[in-house]
Amino acid sequence: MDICLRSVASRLGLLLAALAVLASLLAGPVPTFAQGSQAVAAPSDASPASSVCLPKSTKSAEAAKLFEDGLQLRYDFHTEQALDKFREATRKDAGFARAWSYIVLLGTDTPEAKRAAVRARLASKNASPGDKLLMKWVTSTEDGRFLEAIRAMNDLIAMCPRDAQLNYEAGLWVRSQGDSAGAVRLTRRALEIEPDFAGALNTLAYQLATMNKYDEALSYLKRYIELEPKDPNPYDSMAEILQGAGRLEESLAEYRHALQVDPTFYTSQKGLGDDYALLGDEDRARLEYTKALAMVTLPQQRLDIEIQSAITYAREGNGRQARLEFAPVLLEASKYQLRDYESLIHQNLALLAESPAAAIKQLNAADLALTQPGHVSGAKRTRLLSRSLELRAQLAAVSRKPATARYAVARLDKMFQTSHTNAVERAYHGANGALLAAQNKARAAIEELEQDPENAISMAKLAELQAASGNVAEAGETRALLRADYSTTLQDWQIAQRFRPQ
Amino acid sequence: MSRYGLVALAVIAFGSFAPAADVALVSLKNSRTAAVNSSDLVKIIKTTHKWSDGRDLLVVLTDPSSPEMRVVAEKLLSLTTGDFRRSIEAANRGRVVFVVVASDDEALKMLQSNPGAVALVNVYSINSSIDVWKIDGRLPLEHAYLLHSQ
Repeated sequence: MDICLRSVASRLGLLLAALAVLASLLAGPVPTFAQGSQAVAAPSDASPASSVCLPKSTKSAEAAKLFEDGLQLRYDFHTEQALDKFREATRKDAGFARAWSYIVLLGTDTPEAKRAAVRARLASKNASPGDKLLMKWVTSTEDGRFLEAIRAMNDLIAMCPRDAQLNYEAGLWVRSQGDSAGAVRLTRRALEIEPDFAGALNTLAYQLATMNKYDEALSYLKRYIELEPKDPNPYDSMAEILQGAGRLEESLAEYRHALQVDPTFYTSQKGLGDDYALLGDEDRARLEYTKALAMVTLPQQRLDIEIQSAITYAREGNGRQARLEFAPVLLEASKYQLRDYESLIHQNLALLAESPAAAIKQLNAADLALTQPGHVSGAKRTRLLSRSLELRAQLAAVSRKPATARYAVARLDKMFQTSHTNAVERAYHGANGALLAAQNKARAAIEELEQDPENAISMAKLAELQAASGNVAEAGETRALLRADYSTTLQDWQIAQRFRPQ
Repeated sequence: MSRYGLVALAVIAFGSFAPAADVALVSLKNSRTAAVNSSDLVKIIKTTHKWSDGRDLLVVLTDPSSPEMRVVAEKLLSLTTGDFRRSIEAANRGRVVFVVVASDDEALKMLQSNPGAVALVNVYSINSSIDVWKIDGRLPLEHAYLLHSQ
């Protein structure tokens, strides 16, 4: 399956005109006026709805068909195949604004996306108001003008308030911006409008799972399976959510179910490996990963599996073998100029390093990889660099190298001022928290570490400081969260295993 | 691993790369000067209930215990949620100063009917009919914006 990892953060979609027509007929009531006063005028209840939100915007039947095919692929998260369809659509009709917008959307922060943004702006001069808003939403995001992007998104939703796909896409987008509650609200709205919207059921389940609401997530996936019993993906999703909940035996059964439906579904084969790895059966995990390698078609997919396979040796306590296993994987990433994978592998090697100096050397290499020409978007570079700098600060802080930690914090601070993004912000707080903790400034460190909840190293340090400060209950809660972390990354495993009974 | 799962895990593993949610102070488009100093704003909201030009303050907001309003209470007003709620009740004993509504959508609709009012909403609720205020010279989602929440 062809999926572009970690590049989805600012994807958005558009609505199908036919659905919009149907949806607008189902328009519900505006929210009720909860509290007020006679001295204050009641809210306007104007509910602007359009029967046709985004009419067909190309005269080319071929381009329209390609676009529709691309949309379906996009909703199944086959990003690369979807992009191919949108590219082909623009070749059939160079003035197809909506297709250009989608290339911007899916190719976030890449040279292609920047070129497509220019074409989208040009093409949208004669486009419908809805297409103009879509273009504005997408290109403003690309330019980092988030307030403009939000305005355009909400104006588009206001134009078509009962469009299930639009609400669904908006949910994905706000989640990518860090607004989980907003994402759940919008995706639920999509399902209220269209209860059998399979993609929304799947997405909502994952949104809820990231908020640790596993039971509710699983209920949506059951419905997803009922709707698409002959598709492997619903079983695969069920398996992954069960894995996240730590219900590993049940997860194995669901992955096997997915493979019964489609024996070539490599993500489920890889999932079996992940489950066995988490269960501590590393030999079996490697066997399953080897089977998965025979199913993949893209170098990124191969690298994903090889990285997980190398980590199994670390889980066995054989860091030396893990490092040896990573060596050819690193060469492979370098061969394909996949700088994000190179950086990621070096970060893993830093976690496996035998000395602080060796770890810092690996992090230098991780940062250097991101400066090399290759296949990685600007946004991804920023994320990976911020993660690398945070890890540098964390490792330096515990190995009593305050100058190195301060350097990393200062670089993150500078990045944060120019690139005010969630990943950079959290990394800054995590790095600064580590530094403050090393300086015995526990209270300030706790405040900082609390701002970095998705980083296991930060959470482990937070639990330690909470306990030392006498906050026994809070420390217990933090430890419980870490114990319940069934993520498959090396860093998460290294931390989680410290908090689990041996 | 599912189609969406890869995406979700990516976000978990690396964090999302765009800004987190902030609270925006907003007013109807072109209805007011969309900038204020935080110390003045605190005084206006907590004490005077009047703008510097003498006009009455009218603030539309959601439940004071919502995550967004907790940011306002703690970061702007230095109040607990309970104190914030009590200050709203006390202020409303005379004329209506604060209107608590059920949602951001409703808050924005209130502005249409009350052009002199301001509202406090999640920044992801804004649309083109409103102006977003600068507080201490900064807009939501900018570095060091006062009403930022992670």
